Amino acid sequence: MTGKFGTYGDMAKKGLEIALEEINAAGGILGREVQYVIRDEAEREQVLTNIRDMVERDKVEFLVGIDSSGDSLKIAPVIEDELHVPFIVTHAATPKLTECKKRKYVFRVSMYEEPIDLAAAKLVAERYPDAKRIANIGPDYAYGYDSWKAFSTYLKKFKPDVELLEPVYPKLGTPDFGSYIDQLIAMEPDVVFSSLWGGDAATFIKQAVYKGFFKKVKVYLNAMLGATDTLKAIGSDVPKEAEVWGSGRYWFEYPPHDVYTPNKLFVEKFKKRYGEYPAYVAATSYTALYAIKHAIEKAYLLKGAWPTTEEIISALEGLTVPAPMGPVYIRPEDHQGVYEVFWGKLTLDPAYPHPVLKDLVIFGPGEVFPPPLTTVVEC
Amino acid sequence: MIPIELLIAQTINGLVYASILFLVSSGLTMIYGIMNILNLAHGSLYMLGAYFAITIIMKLAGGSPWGYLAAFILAPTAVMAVGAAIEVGLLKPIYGKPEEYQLLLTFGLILIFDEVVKLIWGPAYINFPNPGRFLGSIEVAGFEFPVYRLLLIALGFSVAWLLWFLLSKTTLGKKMRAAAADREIVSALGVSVPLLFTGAFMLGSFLSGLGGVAAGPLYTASPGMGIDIIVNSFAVIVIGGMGSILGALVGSLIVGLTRAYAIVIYPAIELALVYLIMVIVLLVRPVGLFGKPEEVRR
Repeated sequence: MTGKFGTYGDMAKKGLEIALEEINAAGGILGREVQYVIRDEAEREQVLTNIRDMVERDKVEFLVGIDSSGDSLKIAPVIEDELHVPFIVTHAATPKLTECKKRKYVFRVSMYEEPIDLAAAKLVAERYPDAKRIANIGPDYAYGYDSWKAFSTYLKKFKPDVELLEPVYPKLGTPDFGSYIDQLIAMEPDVVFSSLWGGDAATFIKQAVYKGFFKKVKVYLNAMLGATDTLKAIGSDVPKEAEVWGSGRYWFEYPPHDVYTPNKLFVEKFKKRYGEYPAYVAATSYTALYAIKHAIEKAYLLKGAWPTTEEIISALEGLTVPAPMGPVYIRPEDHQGVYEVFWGKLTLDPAYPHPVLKDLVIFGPGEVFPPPLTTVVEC
Repeated sequence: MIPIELLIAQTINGLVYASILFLVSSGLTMIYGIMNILNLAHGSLYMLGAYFAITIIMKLAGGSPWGYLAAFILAPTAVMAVGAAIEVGLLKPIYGKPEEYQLLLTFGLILIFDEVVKLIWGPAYINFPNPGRFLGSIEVAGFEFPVYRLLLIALGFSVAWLLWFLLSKTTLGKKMRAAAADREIVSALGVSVPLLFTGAFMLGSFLSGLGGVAAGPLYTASPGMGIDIIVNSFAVIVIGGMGSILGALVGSLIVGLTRAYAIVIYPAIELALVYLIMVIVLLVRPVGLFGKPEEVRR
């Protein structure tokens, strides 16, 4: 909720509030009103205490959220062994959470890294057949390393003639990318892949524009560019000389509003209420609440009475939620929600208060989600 | 073999970072040297400088080049006023108390300033209109350098010279150094030490604010940006010697250039190398390269 990345917590709360109001206005879940309590993840040492507290003292029946992949891996075993409460993850993106082993109580409705990286590899292989030299810049922790591992592994598979250059990993929150930008330029790459996120993703592009990076590197892909906070921070510093592609876990214009009503309604409501476009955590948090609602109702239909936790878990398995991101299917094998992956071109459009993604390329879940419980990242 | 062009480019990159580090660490080390106060919230003043600057540039000047000029003068001045308030209102009452009080107080200020910034400007990253738009870039050794970055290097060295001049050539500077050496004697000579202290703290705050204004357009303003700079500034003043302006300059150059070159040679050790240098300096010369041994000061 707070700290340098506090925007995420704020957006998640806004998404939850909308879902909560909608559900309660429509009579709650089977007539029961939904309530929530919020704890701040920024108190890092406190995360486990806070979660135990919510379950044991506040008697919450479901847990929703978690931003940090590291935190999610710390919490998951405690939930499995001790707390036994369904935990719907809306943000943390490490494959290790769902793909290394099946966890009974842990579900994830947000996209994780690997399908986005795999889609990026496909995009490069298909769109840029002449690209040979591939470089990487990502944050200096597990997410940065895993993303490059996944992207480069799949790219090598689709396009064996590529040369993978030495990846660079600036520390998370690096204020000045100047040295890294020149380092990348000196490698003379055809394509630069990046897993920088948040302010880092924006700062890199802003600094790269004025260091002539995009005159020399013609294709730049960033796996986390499709986040409204990052786009706001980029402002009008959109590279003109190169193709800059961005992806993410949700893009507010996809699925298109004219063909898919759940997204249209969500975005309209969000925009009207908060005066901005929803970031992806808003959409995934909103989805988490609806996943719970639909699962309880599905289980109730089978049983005719309020279901037990075990019955709700069975109902979540194989459930399809009409989420803003598109229909999200929760795989029974690994409890991972699957939906379409997008990559779009960073574009300035005066109709929006920040740069947006255009010319979206869509990848179906079957194309880019590895089979359940498999990953190229080390477990 | 590393191409010479890349080394030249990295030298310039290192100097840019060194300049910003120097603006912040010179104030930090000066306040410590004269007043014996380690202001943990010095990085927060840097953050305030950046936020004041964005407000001046966008709200008052509508993003025009003049806004930058105004920001470079007004924002550090506003930070200086905040510094004066901190020194007079909060630090003065605890001067006689053990040092832990200062540390607790200034640490508390970090938390307060971060929250205040979030309340006023929101938790999101704030984008500065890039000064590259009107300043342009020039090519050096085949790499492009925004003129703004080169101006920052000039700013860093100019401030270093001005500080040296102020502290060693002017009466005021001499009084400040004398007060650092022996408060009682200076006081007995009829110099108002409390006033000198307030002045030194204000000057240090101004420098940190100036660092924030300079860094803002290059980086992105965000709550917590003060933490990154204060950690690196500590490395700088430990290497250079606590209390020494020359030490802050040399320390900034060492940290800035080491990081830039490390990225070329072996990126994984970039940060480790800075701390390794710090450890070596602490082992070989615990007072830092230009620090004075404890017994000289009173």
